[in-house]
Amino acid sequence: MMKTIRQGLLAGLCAGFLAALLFVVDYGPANSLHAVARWLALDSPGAGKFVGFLLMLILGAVFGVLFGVLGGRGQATLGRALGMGLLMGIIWWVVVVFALGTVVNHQRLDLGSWLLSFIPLLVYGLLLGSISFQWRQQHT
Amino acid sequence: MRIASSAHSGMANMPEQAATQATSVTLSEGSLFVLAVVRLFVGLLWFQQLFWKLPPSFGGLHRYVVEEGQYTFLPAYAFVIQHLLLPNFFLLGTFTWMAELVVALCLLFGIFSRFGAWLATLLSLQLYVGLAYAPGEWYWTYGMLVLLGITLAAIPAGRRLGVDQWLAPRLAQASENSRIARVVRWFV
Repeated sequence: MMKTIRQGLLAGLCAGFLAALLFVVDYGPANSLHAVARWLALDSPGAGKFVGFLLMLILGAVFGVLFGVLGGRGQATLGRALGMGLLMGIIWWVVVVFALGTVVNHQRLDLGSWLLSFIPLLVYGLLLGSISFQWRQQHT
Repeated sequence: MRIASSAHSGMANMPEQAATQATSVTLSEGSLFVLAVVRLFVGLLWFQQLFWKLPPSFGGLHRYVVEEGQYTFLPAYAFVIQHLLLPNFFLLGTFTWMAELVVALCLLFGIFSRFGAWLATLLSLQLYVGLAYAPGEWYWTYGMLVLLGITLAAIPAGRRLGVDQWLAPRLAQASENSRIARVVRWFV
């Protein structure tokens, strides 16, 4: 069990890092990371980008651990790993972006801001499932 | 994963039969991972272009369609833009936005990634024809977009860090009995 949690943590960090890069490459550069910091009302003109990047790594690791806990029980198949990963991305969006960002912190949620948060987090979930499965394959 | 390629280097010492055959190239896991990351960022490129022409107005798009009508190097295409596309701008905007969304989703999630790459190539070719020689544009911008699309259509980049890794073996199995699966298989 501890092994799958550790694998989930590392896969979550890697997926969180790659997903954070999706917020770095923009006209800013990295202005989109301010939006990430705003999810938890932690944005500031000076440190907002850094905080946003750090949040992507930390939350990536947290949802990676959750992935490890939930996924460690069953048999490791690619379909299951991808499905669980995508579910983690959706849970991240619902809990952090929608519940904390929109409902609690009153962040705007129109088509543009929904796409800009939901799709990258779904990509995070896909990467989490894919990386985790790949590592499991290599270690068995 | 094996990708067929002809290799001519170092063939002088090989047996004659082997020298006339194309040898296959096997990509390492590292190479496949790099290709998947490239696919991801090309998907991001298309994804980001959705935001300056959001529905329902598709406002940012209009200026570029007008420019295409003025500066395309194909006179017939200028006629099509001015007399068919611009008068039906809402339909054009809807189609363009949806097509770019499909490209972005295919490449970001590695789902039917080769289909996404072919669609990206078509859209990029249209941009090249329309905008490559417009004032202030660098013609290679659109040329490179076309080449990126062709490159990602030529390689199965969705089979790592993508849903195609799950789809490909299932489609391969289904294609033994189904003609549709055989066709769909080309796009993963």
